[in-house]
Amino acid sequence: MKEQLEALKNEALDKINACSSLDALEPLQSELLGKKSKLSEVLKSLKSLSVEEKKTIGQLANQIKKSLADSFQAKKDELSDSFSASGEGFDITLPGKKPVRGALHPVTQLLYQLNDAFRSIGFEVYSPPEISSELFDFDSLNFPDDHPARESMDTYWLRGYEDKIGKERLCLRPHLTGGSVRYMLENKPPFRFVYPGRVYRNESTDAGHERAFYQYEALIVDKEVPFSSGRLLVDTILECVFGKKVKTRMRSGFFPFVEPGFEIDMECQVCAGKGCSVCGRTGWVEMMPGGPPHPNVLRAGGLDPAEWQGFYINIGLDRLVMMKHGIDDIRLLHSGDLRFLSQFA
Amino acid sequence: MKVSLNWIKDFVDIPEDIDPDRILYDLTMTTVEVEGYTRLSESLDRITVGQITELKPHPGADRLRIAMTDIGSGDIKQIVCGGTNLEVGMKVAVGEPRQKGTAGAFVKWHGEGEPVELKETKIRGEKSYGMICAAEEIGLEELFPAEVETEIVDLVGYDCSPGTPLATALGLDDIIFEIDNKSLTNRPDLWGHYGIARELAAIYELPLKPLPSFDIQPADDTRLKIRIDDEKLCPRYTCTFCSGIEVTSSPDWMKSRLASVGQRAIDLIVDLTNYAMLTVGQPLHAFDADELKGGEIQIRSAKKDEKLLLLDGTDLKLHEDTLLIADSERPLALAGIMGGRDSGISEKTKDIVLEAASFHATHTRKTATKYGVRTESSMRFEKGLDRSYPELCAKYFFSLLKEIQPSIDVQGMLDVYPNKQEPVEVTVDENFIYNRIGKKIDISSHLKRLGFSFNEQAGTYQIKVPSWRATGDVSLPEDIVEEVARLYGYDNIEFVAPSIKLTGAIQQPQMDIERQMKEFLAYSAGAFEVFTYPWSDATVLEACKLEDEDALKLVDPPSPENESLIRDILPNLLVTTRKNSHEVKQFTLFEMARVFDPGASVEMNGDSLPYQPKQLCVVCADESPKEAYLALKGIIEGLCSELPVKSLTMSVAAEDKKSAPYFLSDSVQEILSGKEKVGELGLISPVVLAKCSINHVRVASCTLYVDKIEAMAVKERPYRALSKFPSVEYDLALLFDEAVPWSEVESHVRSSSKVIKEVSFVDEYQGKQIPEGKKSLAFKMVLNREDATLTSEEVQKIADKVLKVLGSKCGGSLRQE
Repeated sequence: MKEQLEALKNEALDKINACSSLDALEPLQSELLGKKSKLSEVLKSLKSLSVEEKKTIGQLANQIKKSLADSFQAKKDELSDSFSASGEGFDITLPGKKPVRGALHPVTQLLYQLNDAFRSIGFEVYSPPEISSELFDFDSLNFPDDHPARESMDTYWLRGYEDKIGKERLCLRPHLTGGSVRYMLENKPPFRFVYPGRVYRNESTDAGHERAFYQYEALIVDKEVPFSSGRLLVDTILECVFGKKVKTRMRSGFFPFVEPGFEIDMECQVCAGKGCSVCGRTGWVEMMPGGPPHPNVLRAGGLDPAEWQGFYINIGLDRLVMMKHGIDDIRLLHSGDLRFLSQFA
Repeated sequence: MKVSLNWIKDFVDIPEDIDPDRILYDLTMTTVEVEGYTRLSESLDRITVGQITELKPHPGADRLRIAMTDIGSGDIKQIVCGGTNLEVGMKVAVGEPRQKGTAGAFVKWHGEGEPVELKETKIRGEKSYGMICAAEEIGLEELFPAEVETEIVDLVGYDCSPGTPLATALGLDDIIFEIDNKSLTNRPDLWGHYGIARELAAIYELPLKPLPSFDIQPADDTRLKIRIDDEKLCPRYTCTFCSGIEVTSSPDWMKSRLASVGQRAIDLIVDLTNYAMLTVGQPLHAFDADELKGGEIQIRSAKKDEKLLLLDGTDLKLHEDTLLIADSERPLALAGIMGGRDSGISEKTKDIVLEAASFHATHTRKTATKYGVRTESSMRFEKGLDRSYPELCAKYFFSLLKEIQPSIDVQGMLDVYPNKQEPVEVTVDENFIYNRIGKKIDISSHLKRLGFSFNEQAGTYQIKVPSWRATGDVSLPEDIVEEVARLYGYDNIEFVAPSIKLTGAIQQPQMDIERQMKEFLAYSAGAFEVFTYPWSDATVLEACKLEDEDALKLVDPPSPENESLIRDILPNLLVTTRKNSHEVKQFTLFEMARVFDPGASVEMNGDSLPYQPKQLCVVCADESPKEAYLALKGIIEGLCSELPVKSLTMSVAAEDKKSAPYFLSDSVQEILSGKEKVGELGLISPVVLAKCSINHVRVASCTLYVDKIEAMAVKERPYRALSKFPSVEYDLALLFDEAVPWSEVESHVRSSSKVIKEVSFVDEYQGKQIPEGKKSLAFKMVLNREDATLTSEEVQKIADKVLKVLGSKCGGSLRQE
């Protein structure tokens, strides 16, 4: 009897161990452990045994039953945890299902990044009108009356206003700076604000020139704003864009609305300042003009230049985006081409 | 502008240890942008002056000869050469061969192909050291034009001894800086070498040599009358008379100099006017004195239809507002731009009248632009030159001419100067300067270096601006800050972080909404943001039935097709859709931009500007119109529920409501906030698509008026308490006539019972098992009571009610399985 039980046990264990799928294992439950299993039959035949035998054989039979049940469960767990055997197996090298994802334009992405950075240091975001007047975009900005930018070969003037001057002559804004004067008139100093947006120039287009492009401009006005404060703005922008400190330099430049005027260069990020074709082998890339507002500009904004000082910086967003992603043709930015835009998703 | 270092060194001794890289850097940082420099001698490396001492026939070749050539300090080399003009005693250009550790000269064989390095060799059995070069082989064909190909460079006339590097002998041992003209616009004083020299003298604290000057006496004013009609357009006009001139070609040094900065040599007088201009920055013009008729020079406006043949052969018909130089009979020159051919210098010229004058900057620029003649002269006048320059430059011109042709007779200058340049004085306090620079620096020494004279008392500077900077460039205390700071070096100013007072948090919910809209579309709806232009395309506008007489238009549009500014973004997005539909058949695009409404105007800071509201346009393209439409509708529904604004709803537009003309009129739905329309959505008409050549996809679009939506921003979204009792889902499928819209079914279901919290569409089915003209609509209801658990009897009662309502209101009947 004992031998018979041991044999049954070994036979059952072999069967369980031989299973390689849950499908094969499942029927074994009733076959080996069910009411009609051989083991059950053996147990049924216990009745005919002596009390002593009943005790020892019964104990053994129960042990075997338990051990078989454990083995069965262990095998079942093992198979359930095995991906290919559990019946769920499929080709895991198939491509994953793509989430639906579009993209903000790379210029917008950078613009928001900069907005976040500036708002975190207390700048307001301002959105001046895109059609503006000669008064704000030229007169207020200390452009001389005969400045070439006032001509239609540079600026997109609106038809029907050609013979007018000042506030009655309207144009698509050629730069953002005029908007800063509007802000100055609407708010009380001191202030710090950014006013990003698109500007328009009458130009012929090529890989490096566009008629519509984005700028990012910031102005701080306070009682004392030494030149070096301007550098904080510049460094903030560049650090935000490139995710690390970027070397800059300030040099002499000329723009009617600042006095003195600066050109601000950054170290070329392509060659790390060593000199390459992108930077014309100088190691520096011209990034933005800036400087304290010309006294006439402060006056136009309703501020007394004896009392208030400031600092402008203006950055070509398109150019920065191009530098960041290595884009070699500015026209792609207005192309609406999904093959281009989907790369920024 | 090209600037020669040797030319600069005529006026300031720049020590050798200040190399071109440093000059480039320092000029860029303090003054103007230097784009780069070239070393002219680079292509002439290892080419030296040789002198032929003996010529022998080549035993193996008739056309070749053996030239024994002294290449310096009596070192005679044998060189095989085919030059037909070889002569004993001739000075030639010898390309030296490669030697241990030293590269040989690089030459272009017959002036073609890539330069090849020379090596010592044997030619037809005869040893040959290097090569005696022809002009085209070493890139000097402009300085030494050859008459026949076999001619080699003859250095006759050049004062040089054998062994001298050729570049040095030709005065081409020079560095040429390229300065960005744009960075020079506000500095008329820098448009000549003397100005740059003055700047470098200031930077390096070196003495500046005076400009050579020939003392010209005033001329007898009966000799010629000068009549200036408009002293604004011509503030100063000088004429200097000179006779006994021989119009030869220019000396070699001058030709080399002019060539080095890209100026072609013509004849002595013309070259000299150019040379003086490139030195001083003041353009000059020389007339042949015999060609001036009638004893008067008039600086006047052109008469109607007057004509002038320019030096370059252009025949101009003049406009009446053009400033001319004329004699009593005819126009002679386009003032400040270009002379006329008839009165110009020729070989026969003996006597000249040299014009040195001041002309109005803008007028010159406009005239040059109008006639399309932009010259070195006009480029300078349009910057507004120092009015002391004409006299200075004429005197410089004659000092050079006198040196070249000592026999000339300079007979005096007539100087009419009705409109004197105002002297400029600036008063500035030292603290004003310190304060902006952020530190104390030595103001006096910086001012002195720049040629500013001043009186200082108790920290207050009274500064006299030198005439060459008093042309409008320096006039304010801020300008003095700039002068001092740039010379001190902006990069030497230490970084000091500004101290900023803390302010309250900045709340800009409207900005946030705009961004939320865009981010939802890009990141939750799979849409791509595109940029199009603010002007529209006339053809597409017409296709969209949006032709608009009243639209705002540009004076000088990118093209005649693009003259109108947009009032609606959609037409431009259709163009973008067309471009992309060749590649992809299912996509969503959007753009948020300002549109321009000619009808409404807005007062802003005293301006009256056109209303420029922000629009958001979303476009879905798909091969199936239903898919396009429902995809877009889903996105807009999602967007409306996402935004923190008062609730937005969508409703089918009544037929009499005005909607955009490019929509299929019965496809339009309005997006409403209460009763206010904040946008519309619809399917673009196939006719419009066809006219726009969109053939592969159907398009649905939605326009939202962003400003209106932003104005509805609410801060909080109220929370709704969760029900304490379980909800029950209940599915139903009913048959309806196919004309019954879902929205009707939905609203009837909703209004059947308060217990119905949600009704959601599951599917719509027509086909097998559904009778003709019918459709099956399946939907799911969520039932819930806030006060008790629903019993199955209650649920059944509600379901029965719904069936009854749908049956009576819109003919719905339970689908028979």
